[in-house]
Parts: sequence; structure tokens; C-alpha cells
Amino acid sequence: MNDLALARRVIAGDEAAFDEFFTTYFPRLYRFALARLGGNEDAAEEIVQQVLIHAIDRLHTYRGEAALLTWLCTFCRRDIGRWLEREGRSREVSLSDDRLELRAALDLLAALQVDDPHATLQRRELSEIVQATLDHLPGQYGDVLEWKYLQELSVDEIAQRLGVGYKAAESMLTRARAAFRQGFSIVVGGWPDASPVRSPRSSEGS
Amino acid sequence: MNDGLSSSGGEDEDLTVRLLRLAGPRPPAPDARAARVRGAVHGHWLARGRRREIRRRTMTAVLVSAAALLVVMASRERRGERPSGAVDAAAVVAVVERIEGSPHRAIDGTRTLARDESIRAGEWIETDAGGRVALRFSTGTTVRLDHGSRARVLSPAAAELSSGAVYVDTGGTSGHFEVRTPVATAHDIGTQFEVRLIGSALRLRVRSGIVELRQGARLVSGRGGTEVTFTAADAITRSMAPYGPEWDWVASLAPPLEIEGLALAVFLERIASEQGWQLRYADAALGDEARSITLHGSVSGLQTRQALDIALTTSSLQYRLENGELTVFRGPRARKPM
Repeated sequence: MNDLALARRVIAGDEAAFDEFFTTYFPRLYRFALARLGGNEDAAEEIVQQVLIHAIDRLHTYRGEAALLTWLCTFCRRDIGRWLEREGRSREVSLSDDRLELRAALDLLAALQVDDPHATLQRRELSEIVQATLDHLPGQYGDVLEWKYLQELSVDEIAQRLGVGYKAAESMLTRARAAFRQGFSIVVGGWPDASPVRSPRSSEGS
Repeated sequence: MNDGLSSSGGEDEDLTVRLLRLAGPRPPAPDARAARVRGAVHGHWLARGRRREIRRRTMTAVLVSAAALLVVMASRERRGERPSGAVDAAAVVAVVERIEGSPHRAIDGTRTLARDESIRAGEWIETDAGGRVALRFSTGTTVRLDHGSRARVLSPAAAELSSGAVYVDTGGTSGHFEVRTPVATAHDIGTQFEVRLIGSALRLRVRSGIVELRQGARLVSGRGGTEVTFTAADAITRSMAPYGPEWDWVASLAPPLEIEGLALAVFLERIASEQGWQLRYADAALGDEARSITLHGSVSGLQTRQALDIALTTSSLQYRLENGELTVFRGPRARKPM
């Protein structure tokens, strides 16, 4: 189901759609918020809750022009900013591109760089960027990639989970890889060379 | 680095795999946090959905209104959607729907509750001599606290009253809501009722449906149109009207009447339900016609009678209110639909 169709079904009171909406977006927003709140889980919970409640109220204004996650992230970013101001913390997010999806990705990158001067943390940064990229992929692309390459499920098993045929699952895997490559390239400014994977900061000079 | 968009094949797949394995799986959000947030959001979604579904029972036609000017057009199309059933919620079980004065949470008594604020299970709500508050539970049930009341939200189906009075309206769909008090527990069976603590007595007023009062092995039932005064020693039941000035405080906390897109019949049913009136149509065809008339505009800020006057007059209908019975009939210029 595409984002707009999902939103419309949630508005229509479809319980299954609400479940899909929540299970799809709560974890992603939670991670999105947590990365910007210095790991403050209470604040992330509070903010994501108010974001989702606000989103429910405004869902009728969602037109499907941006991904639903991007739309939700605009509320999340605003509420995080308010929380940081209330807590007396500074906001240091500089954006040069107004495209919402790129902004979401760059925000994450900026947030990661604020308090992280140590090279030993670069691997964690890279992990967070990879995971954030997975979160921002459309539909179940992120899940499919994790199932295939981390859980090492076969294409058959993935097809079963998705309730689709083998060919469709294989095709989704291909599209998921392409989407990941494109999303990750946007965040770090290009696709890394095939040589050993390094964090984006250490690879910038290469 | 290359531009990342033109390359493909096994090399890219290999790099994708290495990146993913380096990063590891995305950490799941903690279950307890997910459950709490889901409860809050779900409760809010249900409350909105319930209001929306009531509005959705509409036909084609137009009635444009502001405070004083409404235009009505009728269509003869019929429709019959029904609201869906209730679902339970988790930690957040209610939202503040309406307030008067300065109701507040007992835990931080200095902070006034705000409209749409979430109320979690276990929270005590207090009203002073000038305050009242209406809560909308995730099941759709509304619970209204009168002046000088103290109540705790326990779950989507229960509240505890330690002083003052609450009014419960289960909307006829949820049912099985209970109000626990030090004197007895009131269990409803799809109804509207008020529970008031007066000294060591509990006074139950049932507007519609049936309510059971339980205290240990004792069980006393109250039906619509009765008042039960329940003490440790006995229970006295008497008749009482489900309408009139004794229910005014309840009506003052009724949810705002949003008529945009609402069928005239639903508008009349809601007003009758809030006022404790019996709704009657002069003939069956008129009832059908009222279901085919859709209202547009707003009656915000109007008294109940003013809203009725405007909606019915501009629909070329009239009404009569006698002994708690609201009778709708055709006005002199109204013609029966073909």
C-alpha cells in the first residue's frame, strides 16, 4: 500500500491501517528522534507521541507529495527543536538543500557530527547513517535488506514473509538495493569506493 | 567516490552487504515505550474517528449556516453507515474534551488542564467550585466531572470517584463502564447516568439504560428515569425526569456541536440525547426526510434552542417541546417529498 492510500485508510478508521501506520513509523521516528536527543529515551518517547498525535489530527492534509516518513519528520524536527530550546540546548543544523528527503537525511548526519569528535566513534556514525538510510527507504525495502543480508533469509523465505511470489521478492530486493545505494549516496555525498568501507568523514578526503 | 547512481551489479551488492553488516540491525524501539505511545495515539485516533463517523452519516443536500443564516437543501438519497465498535487502549485512556474554569491534575495542582490533553491511567483529576471538565475515553465514552469533584481515570472502562459527581455517557455503543466510589460501584449497561457522592451516600441518577450498584453482595439496579440514593443501610429509588435544569451542568460540558456534513436526523438525535429528550417525528416519512438532509456551516456559540430554531426553520420544519418530548413536524411551506 502506498503512503497516501495508507493515510486515507487511517483517516477512514481502518484498524489494520492504523496498526500498519504505527508499526511502520513509530520505530523509525523513535530512532530519528533518539539520534537528535543525545540518546534521551524519555524525551524521544514524549516527542514521538506528540508527533504522532499531531499527525493523526493533520493526516487529512497529507497529499502524498513527499514520503509519509518525511512528512512526519517535519513535525518531529519541529518538536525536537522546541524541546532542545526548552532544555537550553543549541540547535546546530545547517541545511543547504530544501528538499525534504535530503533535509531529513542531512539532519541526521548533522546531528551525528555535533558531539562526536572521536575517530573511534566513526564506525558508530556510519552504522547510524546506514540504519537511518534504511529507515528512510520506501515501504519495506529496509526490512527486505535486513532479512536478506543480516538475517540471511532466502528469497523464498522473504517472498513468504511478504506474501508475494519469488520473482516479486527478487525484484523488490533489487529495487531495495538500488534505493539504498541512492539514499546512502545522498547522505554521504556519493557511493563509497568498493575498497574497505570507511566512515563518511574519513572517506571525504579520499 | 563515484556518483553512486550509475554503477550496479555484484560490486554494489557486495558493498551494500558490507555496509549493512557493519551497521548491524536497526535497534528496535523498546516494547514498553512502543506500547505506551501506541495506547496514547490509538486512543486519540479512536476519539477522532468516533466524531468523524458520526458526521459521516450524511446525504447530499446543503444547509449553509453561520450564526444566523442557514440555507437548507434536501436530497432524498438515503444512507445508513454505523459507527464501528470500541477498542481498548493502553496507558493513555482519555483526552480532555471540554473544560470550564480550571480543572487540574491532582499530582501537579498548579497546572490547569488543557483541551485535547491526554490523561493516563491512574491520574487524578480535580475540579474546584468553578471548574468542570469533560473527558473522552478511547472507547468513545464521555465522562464529565461537576464542580468540586475528584476522580481518577483507571482504564478505558473504569473511573474512580472520591468526591463530587460524574456523569457518564457511553454513547449507547460501548457500555460496561464502571464508576467506583467508597460507597458502591456503578456498572452501566449502555447508558447515561450521574453518580454523585453526598456525605456517606451515593446518589445515582439514570437518564437512559440500566445501571447496577454493587457493594459487596448487595446489588441495586436503576433504570432510565430513576434516582437511587444508596447508603450503607438502604437504597431508596424514586422516579425523576431525565431532562430539566438538574441536568444543565451535563449539557454545559457537551462536546461542541459540529454540524458540517451532519444529517439533520443525527443533529436532532444528538441534541435530544444531550438534553434527555425523546425525539419523535410527526410521521415516518419525515424521519426519512430528516436523514436525507445534510447540514453545512456552524452553530458554534448558539444555545441549544437557537441551534434547533435555525436548523429546523431553514429546513421548513418546526418542532414542539413538551414534557421532555421533542416532536418535529412540517412547517406550513414544507411539502412532502415525492
